[in-house]
Amino acid sequence: MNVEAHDRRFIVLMLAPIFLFLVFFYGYPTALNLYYSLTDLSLLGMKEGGTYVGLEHYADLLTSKDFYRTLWNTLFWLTGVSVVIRLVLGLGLALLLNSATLKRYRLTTISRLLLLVPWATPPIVAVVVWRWLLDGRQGMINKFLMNIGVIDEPVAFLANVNTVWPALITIIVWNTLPLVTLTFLAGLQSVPDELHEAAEMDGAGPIHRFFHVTLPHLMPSIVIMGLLLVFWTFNNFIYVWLATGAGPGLFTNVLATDIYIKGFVDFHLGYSSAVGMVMAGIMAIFGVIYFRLVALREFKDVL
Amino acid sequence: MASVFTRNKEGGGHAIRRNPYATVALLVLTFLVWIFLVFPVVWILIGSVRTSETLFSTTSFDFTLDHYKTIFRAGFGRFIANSLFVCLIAVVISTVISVMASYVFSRKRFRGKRWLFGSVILGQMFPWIILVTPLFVLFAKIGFLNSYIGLIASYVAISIPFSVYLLVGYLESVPRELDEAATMDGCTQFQTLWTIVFPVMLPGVVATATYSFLLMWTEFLFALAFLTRTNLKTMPLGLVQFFGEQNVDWGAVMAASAVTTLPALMIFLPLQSKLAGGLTAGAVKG
Amino acid sequence: MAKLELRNVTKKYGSFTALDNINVDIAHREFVVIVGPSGCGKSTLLRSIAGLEQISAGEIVVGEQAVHRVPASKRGLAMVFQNYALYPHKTVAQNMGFALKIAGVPKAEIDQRVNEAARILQIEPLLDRKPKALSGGQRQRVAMGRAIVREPKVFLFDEPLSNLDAALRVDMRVELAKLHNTLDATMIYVTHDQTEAMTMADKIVVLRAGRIEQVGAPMELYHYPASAFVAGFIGSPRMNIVPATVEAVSDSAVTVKLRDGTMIDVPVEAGQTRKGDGVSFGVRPEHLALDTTGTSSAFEITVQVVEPLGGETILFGNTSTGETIVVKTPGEVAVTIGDKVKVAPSQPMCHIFDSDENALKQRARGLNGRKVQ
Repeated sequence: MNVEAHDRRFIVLMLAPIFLFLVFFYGYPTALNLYYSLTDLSLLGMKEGGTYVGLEHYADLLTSKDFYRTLWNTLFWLTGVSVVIRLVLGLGLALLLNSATLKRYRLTTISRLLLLVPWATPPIVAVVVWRWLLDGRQGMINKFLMNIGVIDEPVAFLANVNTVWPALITIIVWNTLPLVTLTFLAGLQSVPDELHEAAEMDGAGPIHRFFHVTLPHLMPSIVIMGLLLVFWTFNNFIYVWLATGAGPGLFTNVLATDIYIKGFVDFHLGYSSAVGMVMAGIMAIFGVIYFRLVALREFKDVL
Repeated sequence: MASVFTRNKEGGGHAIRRNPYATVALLVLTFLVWIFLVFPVVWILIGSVRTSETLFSTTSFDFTLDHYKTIFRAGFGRFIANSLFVCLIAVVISTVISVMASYVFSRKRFRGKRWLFGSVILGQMFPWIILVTPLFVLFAKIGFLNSYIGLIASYVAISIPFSVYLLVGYLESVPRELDEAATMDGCTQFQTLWTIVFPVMLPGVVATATYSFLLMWTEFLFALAFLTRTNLKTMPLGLVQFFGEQNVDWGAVMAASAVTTLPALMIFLPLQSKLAGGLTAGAVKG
Repeated sequence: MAKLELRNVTKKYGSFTALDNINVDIAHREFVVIVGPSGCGKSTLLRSIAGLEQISAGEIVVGEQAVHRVPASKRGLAMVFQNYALYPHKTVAQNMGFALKIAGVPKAEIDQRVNEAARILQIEPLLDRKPKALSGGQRQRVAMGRAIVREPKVFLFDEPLSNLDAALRVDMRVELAKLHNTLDATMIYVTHDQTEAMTMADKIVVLRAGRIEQVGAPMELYHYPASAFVAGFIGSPRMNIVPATVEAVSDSAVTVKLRDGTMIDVPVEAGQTRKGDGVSFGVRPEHLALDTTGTSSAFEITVQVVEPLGGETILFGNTSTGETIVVKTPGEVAVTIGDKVKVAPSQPMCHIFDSDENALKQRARGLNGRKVQ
């Protein structure tokens, strides 16, 4: 066997498993999902299957006020606000941990170790403990706020439309901020000292140095981290579902919970699949951005 | 890869003027951050060892291990064993498949590579929730419901994209000359991968496997859909079972939470620097 | 006898031709250096010989066997990589013996051959260390040891000294030359450093954009460069090459006129060149001398930089028409920046390149160079 044929066989063998997984766990289910979205399939009538209804579900979606609110919740609150907050806080915290003051008092290492605590906490546990902390009757935070006199009577943080999104975002931020912080910290520590020293020799103050040395150096990390957070949060089901069950009412309903509610609570699999396709479509747009912005650059030797 | 943590500028050259107020402010801020980070978990631990009577009291505290006894009597040990079984098998399969694919993606040129590699890494942003219904239907047909085969395969599928993304990033930092030297030394391509490249990329493999494990360890949706028999349920289902209904047994929930968090924390402690550094290492270097 | 022949070797990447019809014969025991600027295809050529790249056309023959379709490890070649490519998780001894282990050689024989190579390279105390614990020079030796252990028909070196500091590079150069003698082996060595080529090679292959520009012994290339490219590449400091026009053609010489009007007779054969043609005039810095006697072929330069090196002095100056001229004179000279000095070329050592940059043929002159075998 000549070298090229040998090579071809090796490539095929090594890629066969991943190819099969792509086909059976991504391609086939997506196609099936697309098909379901064009039928009135019900969870109760799985055996009979659904009848073809064309684009009816999509037409319903696009004219439904509820759907637009769900979309807004997903894009603005769940994803937009929480990602921006994590990037900003993550950067701030990384700078704090990397500051001369913390190093002088030897607090950097212990801070890093403490960051592991929320990070290692499984999201389910994070939701559970924060639900307890934020509980309207017996929650620690209510007791604390009442004791110091900020509020007079307990607030049901996760059941009040004014506080439910901030509370949800607090849970998400608490759980995932450490990863963001540690990633940025790794980036900060890879800024060459000479760059800072050169900027200092050029008379740049700390603020100047941050914007002209530190931030540009971190930019690739920030972009990648931001996009990863967008994917992870946009598609996330359990934070919202376990913390509020999409409530109060459907006030915090997002696309992922909508799919679950429409499909497994209302048994409307056809409609639920249509929501799923919209979700996949939005992610596909982000996918293109990701591919252009990150993958083509980061993997330029591979692609 | 770990080299980003080797430098240590003690004291730092930049804080020549030490403003005492700024220093105090920074230290207070740091302290507040610590409380924010750690308090919830401390609260779990405290809550898990207080008697139900004093659980919500701000003044009294009675120590007890009853909650732990409760959850293990309710079969939580079984859930953990199930989770470990499913996750460990899935992690091994996922990692081996990802290493194989990443190696080819990183080292070989072939037609359709851009398309295939692109598909794999774009899988990172795939909304898995839309897989639930079709896979449920599929598994029902072929008898994979209430079977770990379906769950393990699903877990392998969802962890592959991120694993490949990380591993290809790591592989790019392993010099190609190493493979070539192995080729010159007479290794077959399989030998090159497993005896030369794999040992060299092992730190990356460990970090990748850890991410996969954590993803699976806390996965809820697929488990919920595919496992209905109690003795098969995994840990996240078991945990939710304690607080899903009207009356939440907070003590049991906290005990279960503590038991759930502990293994993850134990994996994290030794690996922390590799985990955070690797995520965007490719980007920083590039 | 391990001779190596390249016959019409061509390598294409899509529409890009990396190697274009390369023909070289390398005799047994010969030390051949392939030089050229980065991107000229020299590494591709070496990797094609090694079997790490598949050639698109042509033949590679080692000994009597055509090997271009044979897997890399079966070609009987060993390669020393630029970054050494030592296996970081194996000890020095394991690194050196790995190829033999893969080939199924008995352990006792592996040990014996590893020890022998270690003795030759004087790295016996390092055998149990991991590559991380070695200095750059030590890694370099281990990389060579790994090649030696395999007792290959031909050694391939891919810029092996480029990661070493200057002093170490000189030492290793000498050691490599010694090793070549000790091992009685054929060696092919790729570099972009003309000094390495000149000092080590029996034969130099100059590559440019995937084509062979010239093949020959170092002194042959130095004295008879076939083109302006080779002339500029071989020799340090670089040859001065300035524009000129052909003023007269005779049986014994071609007379060129520099842009400042200086007339110089160069003893070359005119070939197709006619009076009035635009050509390039080339003379090496060491073949220019400060002139005080009013030689007619001397021209004036304004000194810009003086580099006194003790044993010799290098002057950088401009002609009145703005061309940069470098002069290398023995000993120290009393010249300072801004001085106008006359320099005279040693006419037999001058070169003329036609408009295609090809050298006009030199007339016979005495030289101490070696002939190509």
